[in-house]
Amino acid sequence: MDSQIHGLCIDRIDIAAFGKIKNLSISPQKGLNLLCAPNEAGKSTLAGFIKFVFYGFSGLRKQSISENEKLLQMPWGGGKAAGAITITTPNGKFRVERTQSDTKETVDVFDYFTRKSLFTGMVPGEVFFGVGEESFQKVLFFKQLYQPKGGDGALAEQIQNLMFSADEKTSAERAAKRLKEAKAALKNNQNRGFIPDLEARLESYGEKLTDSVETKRRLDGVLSALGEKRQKIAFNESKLESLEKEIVNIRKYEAKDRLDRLNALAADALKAEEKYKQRMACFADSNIPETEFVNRLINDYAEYSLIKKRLDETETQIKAQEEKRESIEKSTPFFKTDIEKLKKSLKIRNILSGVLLLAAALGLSLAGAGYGFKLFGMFSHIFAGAGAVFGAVGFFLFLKQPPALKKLGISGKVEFYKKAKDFPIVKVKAEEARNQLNSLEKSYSEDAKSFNGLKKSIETRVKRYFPEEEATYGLLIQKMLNLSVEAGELKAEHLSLSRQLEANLDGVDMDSLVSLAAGAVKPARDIAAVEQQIDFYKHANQGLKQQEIALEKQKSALGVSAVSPAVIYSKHEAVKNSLNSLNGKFKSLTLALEVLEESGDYMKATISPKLAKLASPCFSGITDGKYQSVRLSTDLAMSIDTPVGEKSADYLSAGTKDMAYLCLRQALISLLYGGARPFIVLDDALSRVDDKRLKKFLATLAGLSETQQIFILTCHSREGSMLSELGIGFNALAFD
Amino acid sequence: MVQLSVRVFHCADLHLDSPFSLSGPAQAEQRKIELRSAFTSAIMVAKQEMIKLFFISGDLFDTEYVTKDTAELLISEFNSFPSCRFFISPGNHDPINDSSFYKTVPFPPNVHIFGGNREKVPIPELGVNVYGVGFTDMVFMSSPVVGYGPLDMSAINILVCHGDTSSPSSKNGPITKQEIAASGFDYIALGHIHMPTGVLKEGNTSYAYPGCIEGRSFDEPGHHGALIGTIGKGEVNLKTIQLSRRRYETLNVDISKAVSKSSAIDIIRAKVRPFGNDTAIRIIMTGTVSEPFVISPAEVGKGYGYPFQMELIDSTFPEINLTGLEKDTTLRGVFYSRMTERLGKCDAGSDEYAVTLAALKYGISALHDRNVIDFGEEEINING
Repeated sequence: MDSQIHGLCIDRIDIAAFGKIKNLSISPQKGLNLLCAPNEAGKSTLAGFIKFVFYGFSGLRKQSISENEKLLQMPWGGGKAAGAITITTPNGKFRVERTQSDTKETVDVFDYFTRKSLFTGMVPGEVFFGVGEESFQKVLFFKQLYQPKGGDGALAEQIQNLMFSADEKTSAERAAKRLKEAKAALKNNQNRGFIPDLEARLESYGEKLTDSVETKRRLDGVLSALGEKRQKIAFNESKLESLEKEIVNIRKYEAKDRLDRLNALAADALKAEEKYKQRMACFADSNIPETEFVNRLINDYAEYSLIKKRLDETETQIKAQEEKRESIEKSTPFFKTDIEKLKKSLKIRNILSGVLLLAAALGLSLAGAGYGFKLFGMFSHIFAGAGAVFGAVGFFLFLKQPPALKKLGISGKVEFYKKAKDFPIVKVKAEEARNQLNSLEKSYSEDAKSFNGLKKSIETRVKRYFPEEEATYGLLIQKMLNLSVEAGELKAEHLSLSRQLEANLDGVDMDSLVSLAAGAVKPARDIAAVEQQIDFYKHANQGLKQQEIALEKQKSALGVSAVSPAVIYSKHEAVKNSLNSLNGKFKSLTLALEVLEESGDYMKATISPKLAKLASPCFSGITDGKYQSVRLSTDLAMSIDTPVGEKSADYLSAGTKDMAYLCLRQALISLLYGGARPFIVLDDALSRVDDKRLKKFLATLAGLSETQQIFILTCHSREGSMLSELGIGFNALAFD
Repeated sequence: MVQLSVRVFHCADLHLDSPFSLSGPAQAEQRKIELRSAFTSAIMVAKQEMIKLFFISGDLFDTEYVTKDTAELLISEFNSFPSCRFFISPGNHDPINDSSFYKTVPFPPNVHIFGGNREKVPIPELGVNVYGVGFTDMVFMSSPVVGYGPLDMSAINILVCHGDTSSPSSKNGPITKQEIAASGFDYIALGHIHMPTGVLKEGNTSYAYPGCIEGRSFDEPGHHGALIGTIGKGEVNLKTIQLSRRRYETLNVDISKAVSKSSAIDIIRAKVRPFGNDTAIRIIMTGTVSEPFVISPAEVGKGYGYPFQMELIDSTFPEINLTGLEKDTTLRGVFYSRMTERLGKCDAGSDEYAVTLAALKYGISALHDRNVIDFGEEEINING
């Protein structure tokens, strides 16, 4: 067979140590290679070795042996897994050697002929086959023929799966289903799911947050008002305290005042007592005269004074009278002389004077006449002279104060006569004066007697109290009176004050009063004003406290319903963040689905016809030309062309459907690998196929083997028998 | 005054009550509790170490989400440590304004919260002046390091603020190194950047970002904590302590050598083994695989000895070794060709690329008659 037609063909398998296999060399051929060996002989190990050489072990971090190829397929006796495969490709013949120890892995790919190393990577399979390990295993290794159950739909799904991922187990539908389920969990068509739940919750938290903020705002308002009320209450209480202190001070001051008054009273009482004592001390033996005594004394002294005054007056009167009398007597000189005599004398003198004057007159007249009438001649002269002399003497006598008068001090006769005229009166007066004087003297004498008596009495009495005092009785009596009055007053005062003091001190605890009065300051106002203010502030506080209670109730009510806005906000934000995250995931899932569907549609649109085209010859061959071709709709529903037209693959028998599947898988291989188809390995894949179908299948495989190396690993001998029976040539492989 | 050193604790960016958006619903609550627990641990450590000054440089909580429970926890913890002075500088997530908890909740007297104006808080008994300023809005356009006037150089001067040294045009308190060097502070306790920097120095001024106290996402990998130690005049001795209970890690695992799904799982498992139940791990599968593996985290492992949260991201590329014949004549080949053609038209890294790549993997897996369902009840956290 032409290697170009065959593509990739294993020429030789050399197993140094792999799983339970040691030192095995197998030389497969192009076309069909059949290895018939019992269970546990190492068939799957051989298949695994092929994959190992090209791709190494997979699942190295898996814990289970079945999943960890290294654990599963390292040599049972220990040591390194090692081996090589010689492979022919359209580009030449190569040998791939791989060694895997516990710690080290080596791969060598070299040209079979030149031994030139060609590849330095660890996964030569990707170079040789152009696919990854997964695709390699899933496409080229058949664990079993898939037998779909449940009609064409299931077949379509399997085809799709195969087509889409070269792995019938990987379901695009399942992938889409997972994505849809995830989406539905987030939000389904009935708008249920995590997202709607969170949206509802977010809305709820939003409302709660609004309520909470509002409640907090109201609570803050209440607290603010409460604070304000309390401040006012505190202020008022402070004022009340101050006012109470003021009251206390007033009381203290009252106490102080009372104390001061008591002290003053006591001081006064003491002072009064001292004064009284002092007064008492003023008296001899501190013996204060009785009032009656003093009164009597006063009276006596008054009488004494009166008498004295009278005496003085009388004396004065006497003096005055004496003077009067003297004056009277002096007013006339006639008391010293005999007035009659004097009168006589004066009369004589007057007569004489008169005579003389008459004589003078006569003389002068005569003179005059004489002179005038020249009568008397010389006698005129005599007459004149005599007249003159007589006249002179007469005038002299007339005019000149008589010596007796002069001696009496009388200036003249007129005065004398006047006085003489008055003298009787004067004499009477003098007599009266004398009488008065006598009376006065008598009175004076009587008074003097009384006076002396009183004086003595007074003296005695006064001396009794003021023995040493040298002062007038009046003063002493006055003093006595004053002192006694004073003493009496002082005593009265002293007694009064003592009584007052006693009365005031009755029931008074002085220590308490002193203590209470301590620190008192004169109040600025009276207690009524203070009490008025106290009432005002108490009343104000009453009102404020009621308001406070009301606010407290509001606060409690709000507090009960209040939830910390911060907590609500946190929850709101947490839910919002979660919601945003889930919405993002929802978008991503939606996008994934969209692109998955888009990719699927693309696959269906582009690959379906290709697959159908590639599968048709195979299918036609398998069905011995009964069905020339297969079609794959975009839904991957398979239909066949029959002579009577296109028919659904549902009309095919189960076995034919298997064949159709095989053809499609082969078509996929062709699609993947193009002309250079690699080998395929059927590892006990046919064990469940019945004999009839198996024959069909083997015939198909034989057809395929013309262009592709095929390994059939089986524990049954029937495959070999059937191939022989069918006359199909094959290469029998063995483990020995 | 003789300058001694003072024992301090510096933490920042706690973000109490902030959402853990990457956690599942059930984990969100748990993480929230753990974050609060980290704060409680911080206080406990501070007590044990007899800390005198406790600095929180911003973002103590998230204003938008903070609850009264958290506020009560904070107050309770502050109250439990009356001998320590706490200084808080509000940041862009917890600005101080009329509606913030800083104003509506009564903080105890040992807590000082910096407002919008630069402040100085003298502590003469410690010989320390603590300066600071807080955000009043989500942005802070000026540098929080400047504008404090002349410092009393006889005292230890410490600045607590929230700011950004990464960019001079930052809207969150831009800070330059020159400003730090010129500030005159002995130590600047910073907050805002979640990765810890360790103690750095510019000029005579030391500064540090302690990082966040607990990682909240994969963007914040590793364990986290705070800084603790002593600060003296010109001498800063701070060390990092771990407070986080959990950590997030990301692993790239090359599964190119995997020949099967189970071997891929083995490779992943071997990489994941060193991480315990305190880790949330994101595993990014990389490499080229001959066959896409649909692996769920549950298949890798869960429970004791495994990370408490596992996320698998498939970044592998299926490189199926198909010969030319196979590409043309098998459904797998045609599908693969068409999908790779589509992939070639997408921009790498785009969502479309990711969807298309996932579609390729799903399709190939389905064609291999493998499970394509990589989601489930656990992964999507329905039960949360």
